[in-house]
Amino acid sequence: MHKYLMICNAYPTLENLYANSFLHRRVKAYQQKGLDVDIVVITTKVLKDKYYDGVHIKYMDEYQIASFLKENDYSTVLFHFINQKMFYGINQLEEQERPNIVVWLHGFEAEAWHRRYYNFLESISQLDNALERKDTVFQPQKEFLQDIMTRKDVNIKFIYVSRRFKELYVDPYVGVVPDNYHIIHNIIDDELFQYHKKSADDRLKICTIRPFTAKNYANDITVDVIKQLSRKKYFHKLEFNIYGDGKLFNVLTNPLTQFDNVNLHKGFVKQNDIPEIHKNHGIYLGPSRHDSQGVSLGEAMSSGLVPVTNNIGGIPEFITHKETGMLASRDNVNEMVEHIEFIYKHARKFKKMSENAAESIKQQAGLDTVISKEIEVITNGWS
Amino acid sequence: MAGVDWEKAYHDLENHIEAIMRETSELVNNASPKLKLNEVYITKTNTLDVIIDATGEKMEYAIDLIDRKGKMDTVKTGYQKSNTFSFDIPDGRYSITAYAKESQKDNSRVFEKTTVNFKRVFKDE
Repeated sequence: MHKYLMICNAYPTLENLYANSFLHRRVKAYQQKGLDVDIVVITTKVLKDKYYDGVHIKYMDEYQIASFLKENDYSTVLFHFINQKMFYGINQLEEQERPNIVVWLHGFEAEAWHRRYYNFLESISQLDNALERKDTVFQPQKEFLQDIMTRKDVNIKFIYVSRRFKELYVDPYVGVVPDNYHIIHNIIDDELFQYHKKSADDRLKICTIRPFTAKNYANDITVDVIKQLSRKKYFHKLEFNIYGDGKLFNVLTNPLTQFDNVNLHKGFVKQNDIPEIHKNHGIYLGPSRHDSQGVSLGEAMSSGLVPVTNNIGGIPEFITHKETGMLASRDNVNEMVEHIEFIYKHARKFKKMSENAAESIKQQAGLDTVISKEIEVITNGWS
Repeated sequence: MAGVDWEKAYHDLENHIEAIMRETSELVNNASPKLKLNEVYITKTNTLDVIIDATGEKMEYAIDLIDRKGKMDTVKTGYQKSNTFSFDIPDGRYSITAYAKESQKDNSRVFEKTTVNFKRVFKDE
């Protein structure tokens, strides 16, 4: 029987349930399909093995990974958030001993550093620090990706989480496109985010569930949209619930405390609590400045909410304007307000969009769809 | 090997850069100046007057004044909000170390050393 090894930068444990929890969702699904998958988390810390929900997790540095790969015969190694150190063990093997390799490209590990500008524009020193890292960290990572995308001595496939992520972010950054790649989206767990039919009144209930840790989450736009909507006659008929946590929460939401129909829920929202929130709302207001896919938008769609968001990054690959959601151009508050007004005025259209959104995202990124495609890539088509 | 669609990527990046520039402008406009000691001005009258010109946020200034011949104890003013110092001292050769720091930052400090040959100048001279 073939054995598979996943090497990643973090994996959920009982102490840290939410570290890359989407990897665990995959591993459980692979196991259900009969794949035997071991997990290695790369770290320089000395940590004992852990077990989480039936999965054995080992912690190793790059040299331990190299020894481990020599001692164990894995048919395929799966990399998430890959970097040079993770790959060191593969390079230490003789060419004929090297396993097949699948590399998932999710986001930051395969994009130009300046695409995530919002992470270092809080202060001049943060910006200076990023510029320093440009040569020491980002450039080596780019060269590493160029290397593994072009070399012929490894049997390697790449998975991009969206086509637009590949074409707009990764391709121009790396400058080369690998021969063997697949577009497979992150899972939108339609078992957890089950569709609930929406009534016309649900369009009046608007929620957002976002981290308030960085500007890319564009919560400032959410606040501006609500402030602008407050000048509309129908504003008092709407209800807003804002969920999230982070250093920007109080600063950003403070102007909204004056509105009785805006409820602020500061705190981390557990994955399992989100479906209940979805059940009570009809619109998911989720502006964004940078997204390779927009998983939280997809989860809301799966539950039957109509997303109102921005036409940036990977998002339009999952949302068709006025069919499965509403798209505004980048940073455009006016358009977002118009979109919410459109939904307010077109109850029947809202209900149709809600159904379409759930159906479309399930087909595109539902659990079965994604896992079937991934297993096909992992187990078949190796030369 | 398939190629990169540079044109498509360029248009997306161009759109993104505008947002980056807008936020960079916000950062620069709201940024506090970087701590820097520009100049130490010394004027000799009947006193030795020192003005420290520095840029930074919420500044404090201090002087160490050392008599090169050791006849007088070293004067350490300690940090103060004013950037102007006046010393009523005998004629002689002195070393001056002028300090500037940002009061709300613990590890920020800049300084400049200079020497001065001081001879009192009276107005009726």
